[in-house]
Amino acid sequence: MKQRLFVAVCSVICMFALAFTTVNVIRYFRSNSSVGDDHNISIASYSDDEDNIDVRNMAVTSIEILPNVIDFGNVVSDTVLSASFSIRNTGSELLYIQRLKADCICTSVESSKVAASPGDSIVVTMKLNTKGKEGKNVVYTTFMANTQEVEHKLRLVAKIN
Amino acid sequence: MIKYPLVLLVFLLCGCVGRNDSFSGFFCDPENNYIDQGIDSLELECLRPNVAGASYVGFSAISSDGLFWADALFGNLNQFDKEGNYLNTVIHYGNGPHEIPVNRLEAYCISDEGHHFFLDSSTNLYEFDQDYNLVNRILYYWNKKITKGDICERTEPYATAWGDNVNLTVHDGLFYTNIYGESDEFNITIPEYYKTARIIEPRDIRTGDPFPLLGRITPAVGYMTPFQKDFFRISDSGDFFVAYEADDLIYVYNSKYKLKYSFGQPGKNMNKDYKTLTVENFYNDLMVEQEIRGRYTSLSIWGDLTFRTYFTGSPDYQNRLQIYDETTMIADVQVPLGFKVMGYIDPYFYSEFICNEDNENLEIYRFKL
Repeated sequence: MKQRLFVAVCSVICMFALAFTTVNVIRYFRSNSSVGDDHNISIASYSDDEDNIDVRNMAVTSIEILPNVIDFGNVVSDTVLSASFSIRNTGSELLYIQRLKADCICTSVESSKVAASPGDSIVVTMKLNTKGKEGKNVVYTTFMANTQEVEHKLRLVAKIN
Repeated sequence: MIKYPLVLLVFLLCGCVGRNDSFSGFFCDPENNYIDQGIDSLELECLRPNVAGASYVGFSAISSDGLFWADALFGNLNQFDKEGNYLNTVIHYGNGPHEIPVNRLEAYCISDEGHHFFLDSSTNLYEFDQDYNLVNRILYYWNKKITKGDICERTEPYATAWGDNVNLTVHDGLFYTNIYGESDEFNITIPEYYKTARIIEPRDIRTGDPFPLLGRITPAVGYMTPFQKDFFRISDSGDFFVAYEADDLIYVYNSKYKLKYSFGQPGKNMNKDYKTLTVENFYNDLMVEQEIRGRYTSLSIWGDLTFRTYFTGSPDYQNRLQIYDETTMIADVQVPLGFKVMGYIDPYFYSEFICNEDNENLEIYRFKL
């Protein structure tokens, strides 16, 4: 009687163990399947979302950026750092800038205007929201201009405590 | 009669535990670990490539076609001869067939077939063929919706390791990136993370479909210690070579990621007295630790040779390079800051491009063995 009872108990335990293993095996194979149910893989469209002006086709001028880098040093978290850069047209043609982009969603960027006559300047302002940020942060804004070297960058540095 | 259910029970229970929460099968002590330092120093030749209008933030790669430097901010690819002379900008930023449609790149590599791959910060992978034609673009997502039970098995809790630690490698139809956990339930502040987290994700280069995650965090990485990065390389035969910032050993796995062996010697006079960081003061303490503590900084392989760089930390503050011939260390020499071995074009080994953003210059070192 005891022996039968023991076998019955063992059998029940085995069934539970088997079920548990089966669940694990299913999960294992699900994890090894090439595409998870929740994954939305798509081919993104390949289109130009920019304006129609291409500075690469315009008459070339020259610029001076002051400063190239703004380093705030140590700052406290949860503040907005504002850095202004002056892009001065030092050439003889109309300056035009485009594709002004920050490389972080934490940073907004805007320019006072997109074109400047010779001798005139465009002011670009980067605003870094330090909320949730810590440590050394380097963020960039890039833009294109009708200059010999088309691409340019602005750099903002801060150590956030 | 009783024996069989018991044996079955023991077998099943053993099969249920230990797969996810054990380091077994991922790490081992070295069996053949030798030192034969015939090389006391390297004669490094410095090349100074010149790229007009560069951002001086970028990534390097090497192939039989020469040296390549991808400008991470301006979205272009520049080709150089083996003397470091600029030849051409072979891929520009733009929307044409020879152009890359984003200007913020996170990683770059060349496949064995000579195709050029770029990863952007929105998890787009761009593939250009040997003639620099854009031949494929895929977008893959990380799904952040997870449950506690999923964290060991699914890809959702992970993100590609952005920043200065993105390791993009293409091999045999898959691309591999290193990953880390960033969800509230699964990150480096959770003790379980150190036992169960994966570190490498393969995906199909045509579709972006995910394949099973690979690897583990080495036990040498302590809970909330400052140096948790890993480095991996894949050999021509498909073996994975994996190193960690905090681990003296290099682990070798076969193409199925089964552990083969380990090797490696500790760096000279490394300061590895790592502090356990706190959530409250994580980044401040991390910055201090990064200045004074030693750690391994890169891994490269070429044939039977393995190159690993490290920073000693205080008091020496040296950057050094170890060279291994199979499992025997043949050199441990001082190298310049930022030095990492990129590859080989007969008769030289080349370092990666060292970008100096403040001085606006690029440097490469090359040496013979």
